[in-house]
Amino acid sequence: MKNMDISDLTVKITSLRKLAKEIHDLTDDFPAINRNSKRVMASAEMMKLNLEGISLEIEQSY
Amino acid sequence: MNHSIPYWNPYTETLPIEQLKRMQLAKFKRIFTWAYEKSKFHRSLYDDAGISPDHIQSLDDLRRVPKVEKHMMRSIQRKHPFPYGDALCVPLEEVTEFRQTSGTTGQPVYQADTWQDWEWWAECWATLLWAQGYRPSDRVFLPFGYNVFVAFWAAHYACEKLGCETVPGGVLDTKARILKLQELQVTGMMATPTYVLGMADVARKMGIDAEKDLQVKKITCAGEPGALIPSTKRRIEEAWGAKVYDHVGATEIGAWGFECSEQSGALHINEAMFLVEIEDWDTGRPVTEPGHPGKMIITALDRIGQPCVRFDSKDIIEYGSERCSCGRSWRLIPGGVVGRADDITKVKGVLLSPSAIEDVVRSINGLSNEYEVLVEKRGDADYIVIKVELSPDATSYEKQIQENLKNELRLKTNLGYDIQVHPFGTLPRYEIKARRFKDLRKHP
Repeated sequence: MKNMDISDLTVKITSLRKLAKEIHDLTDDFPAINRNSKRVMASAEMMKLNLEGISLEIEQSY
Repeated sequence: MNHSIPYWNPYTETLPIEQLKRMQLAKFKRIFTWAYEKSKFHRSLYDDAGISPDHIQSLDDLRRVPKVEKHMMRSIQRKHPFPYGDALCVPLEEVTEFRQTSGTTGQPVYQADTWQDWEWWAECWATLLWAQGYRPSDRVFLPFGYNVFVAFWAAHYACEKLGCETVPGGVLDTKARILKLQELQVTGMMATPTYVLGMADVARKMGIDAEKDLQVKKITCAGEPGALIPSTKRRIEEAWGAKVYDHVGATEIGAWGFECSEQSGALHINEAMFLVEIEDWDTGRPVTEPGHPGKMIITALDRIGQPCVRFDSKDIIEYGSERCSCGRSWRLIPGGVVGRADDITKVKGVLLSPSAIEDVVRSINGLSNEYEVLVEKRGDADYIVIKVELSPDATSYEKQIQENLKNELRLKTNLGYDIQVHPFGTLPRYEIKARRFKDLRKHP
């Protein structure tokens, strides 16, 4: 298994979550983007859950 | 992507125990706080017990949190917010999935999931499928009914997530499914052990030898404990020429346990996503040592729509003393779920293990794969009737087979049985959960 920079990965996934949420919040009147960004948010959240306990502190909210 | 990596999540699956425990505690606090703040049902339950999130400082504190039982979930549903009731922790418009339990033990329970939860369900399954050797090169067939029961729905989504070519086998009858397996050269399949065995029989009648004429090399079973019962696993593996793996989960809980490719005879608990406790079913005391069976209390650590916090599953399990050679740090439970800690499996005061009965029946040459167990009350006494079928080529050995069965059952379960032998093909066949165990006694 190659060594990965988990901290760097964590930063990128955190940015992705933030970006997906921003897109979602901007698109109340654009269902095609709004609902797809909702799915991206769920996938990004799953990535975050996969990193928790490794490098990521466990946030106390969802 | 490197397909030779043995773990779906190489980090959480191999976390040192102490780190794993810290993660579980932090995750438990989070889901407990979430349920406490978002659900009237949970808030009221915890307030009545005088416990709030601030009280959870160690894993020992978990035991102060009241358990949730299935009857409690039944009592709140069909109320606001309809139809789930106030265990729901999200607005209704966040719910994207409806499922319900099969009703094996009573009125079905409705289960709500958000899309986030559904990602999580698929992730639980992806974890186990990867551990069992499924890879994007697999073509996987799912022969189940695609309906209100969760069954293999999450397996379908997990296969897609893994990158497997996913073939939905709903609605087709068994013959059509076998032909589709052959036509597409399917390499993996998921179904109940009962159905997988039945498919091999049907294939044989069609002139298709599942081992020689089909390409299925991996079968994942769920819904019943059979794939971890040695004689059942052997029958399936021989019929299909495939590796057979077990998995255990439940609608209200999630996909919490699985057998890895080492086939150690035990299930791993997915301890990154679930927190399992065992308690003595009589005293309620925690069981922490290996080798002592008890009742499983389980928390799904990341399921948010309708959370599962200290759910009293009634499943009987025990911790193993060994770590698996696969390298996962997640604990093993030898033999998987071996029974249920309620009246359903107590006969004459003895805990009756359906798995033990199945292991005996399927180890007897000359008996078909089908059987049924009825528990009856005659006067004040409990009687167990076991109905079995002779294989078509074994009719002349009926007495000897019956004697073998009687002796083995007595030896392995310490109980006596009224054995009824039926002609081949006369007992019911099942596609989803086989209802082989029927308790005809009246319970309060």
